[in-house]
Amino acid sequence: MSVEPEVPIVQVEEVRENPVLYKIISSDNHVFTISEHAVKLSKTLWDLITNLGLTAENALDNPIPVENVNGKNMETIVQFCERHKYDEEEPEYTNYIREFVLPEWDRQLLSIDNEELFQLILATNYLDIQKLMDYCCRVIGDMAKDKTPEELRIIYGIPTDAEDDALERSASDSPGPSG
Amino acid sequence: MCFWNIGSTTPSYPCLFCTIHAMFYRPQKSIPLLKLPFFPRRLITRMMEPQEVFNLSLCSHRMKSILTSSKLEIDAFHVRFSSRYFRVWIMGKSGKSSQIIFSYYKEVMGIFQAVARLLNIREIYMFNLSFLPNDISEIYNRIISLYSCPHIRWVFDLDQLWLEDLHEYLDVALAGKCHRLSFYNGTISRELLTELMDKIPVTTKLEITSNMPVEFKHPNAFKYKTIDYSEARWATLDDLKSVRNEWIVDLKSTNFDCHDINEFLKYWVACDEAMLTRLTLQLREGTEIDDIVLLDKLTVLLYYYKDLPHFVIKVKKITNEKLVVGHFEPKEDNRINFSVWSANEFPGVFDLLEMLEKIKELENELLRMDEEESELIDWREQNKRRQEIPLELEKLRRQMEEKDDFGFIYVS
Repeated sequence: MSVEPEVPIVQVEEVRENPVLYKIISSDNHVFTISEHAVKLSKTLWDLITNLGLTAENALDNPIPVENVNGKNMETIVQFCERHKYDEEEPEYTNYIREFVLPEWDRQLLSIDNEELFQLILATNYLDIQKLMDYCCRVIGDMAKDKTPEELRIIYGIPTDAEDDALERSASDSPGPSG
Repeated sequence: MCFWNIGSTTPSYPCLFCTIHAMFYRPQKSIPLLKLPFFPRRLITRMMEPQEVFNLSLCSHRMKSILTSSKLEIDAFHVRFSSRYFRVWIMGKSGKSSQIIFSYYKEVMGIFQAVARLLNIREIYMFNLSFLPNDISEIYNRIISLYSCPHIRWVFDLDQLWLEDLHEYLDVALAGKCHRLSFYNGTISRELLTELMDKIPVTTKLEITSNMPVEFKHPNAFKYKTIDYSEARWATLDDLKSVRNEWIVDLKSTNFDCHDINEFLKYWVACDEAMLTRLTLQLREGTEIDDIVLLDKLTVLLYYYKDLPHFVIKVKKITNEKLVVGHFEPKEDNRINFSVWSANEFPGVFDLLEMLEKIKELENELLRMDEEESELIDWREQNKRRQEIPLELEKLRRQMEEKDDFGFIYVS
């Protein structure tokens, strides 16, 4: 596990409170430190830490590479996890709309362009962070408010039936693996 | 508010505002919803209100199929229509309700269209074609397939519906899941009502506020899961006694008086089967609440509220644990409400009722001893009981006094 020496280390303010820190390396080789409480919000990372047997003593010497998440998204994710690390545990996921109001701090954090939001939601899905997933989905779901079907088609990039048919035709016309 | 062809995923005739809007409406960049993994995509649609999910389903057949396969859970779905419109009211899990209106207009209603759009009325869908029953069926199936719903209700506006349409639409309703049928406004003839009751399964909740014939009889009339009739002067005491829906009966106009209610309550107490959860009815016009007639031969815990006799009563044989204690409340406008609860709902009251029932049994036993004179009777045993019963009665009365925090009047 080699890290370029000139790679910036992102320090998050709250990290100093917690003596147990972990290092995470994004796909573009940015290094982030994150506290134990915060990293627990990601089921994927915490499973990895547990399986690797990382402890308070050896955590900082063994950075965790996360190939699927770039530095920009990882920064947002670390900020989010540090902010919410002491939140009460979420109730069991229910099978319907949960009425929660997106806190202003999180709304600001997620005020990013749609391309970034799309990448962030993929990263959140990979890292399995339920709360951030809820918040991202709330932001995306709220985009449907007061919109006509035509507007929704544009917002969510939904191809028309004709476009779907054309895609299907071109897929069936293209040569398969055998050439 | 564009014009749509039924089943189409693109407006057949976009309205002026949509056309202009589409020219200028360019968001920064799309969120490709269909490229998201299953879990976040499903979560996003579950964050939406029911109407938003419906609008999304209009975007493409693929989108509709995805939404159909992961149905949005809702609380209630009401369909109401006449021959010209078709209105859907959806109660979401969040407690918010949405409304979608489908309407048919022969011509382009330029001003109406503009005003509606300016007022941001986006829940109206105009159709180029008139509604045929097949269309209704298609629209209905298209919408309902998006949701998972525990309660579906159809409302028919009889004063705005042609008779032949009613029959055809009713068939559509009954072909799918339908928990409640409501018939509003207009007048319903005896023949039509008979035909409807022949057709509507008794597992359905039935509500009729349309004018009904004063003389009517049908074997199913008092078998529906909920019975809600605004006109029930044709109902007889036997009809009332036949109720076994274990749910609700609401009659807004009847010919019943206090004597009938007393007869009904006596029947309810002795009935071996669970009858109902709530009975609300309007007594015959001019009837005065007479507590002597109402309470005749009943064992009750009585109290007065606003000078009217209220009481609690229990069934003799418990067949449904949820339907044991009855609470009778008359209202000032001659309406009465009889609601039935489980014993746990009023634990102290149920104990008092049991003790009162026991007191009545012991008193009857004493009476029987006085009346029965026969050589076959074991006099020694009887004398022993004659001494025991007053002691038991005294003990029960003392216990009742201790337990009664409500200040009931005991009637037995």
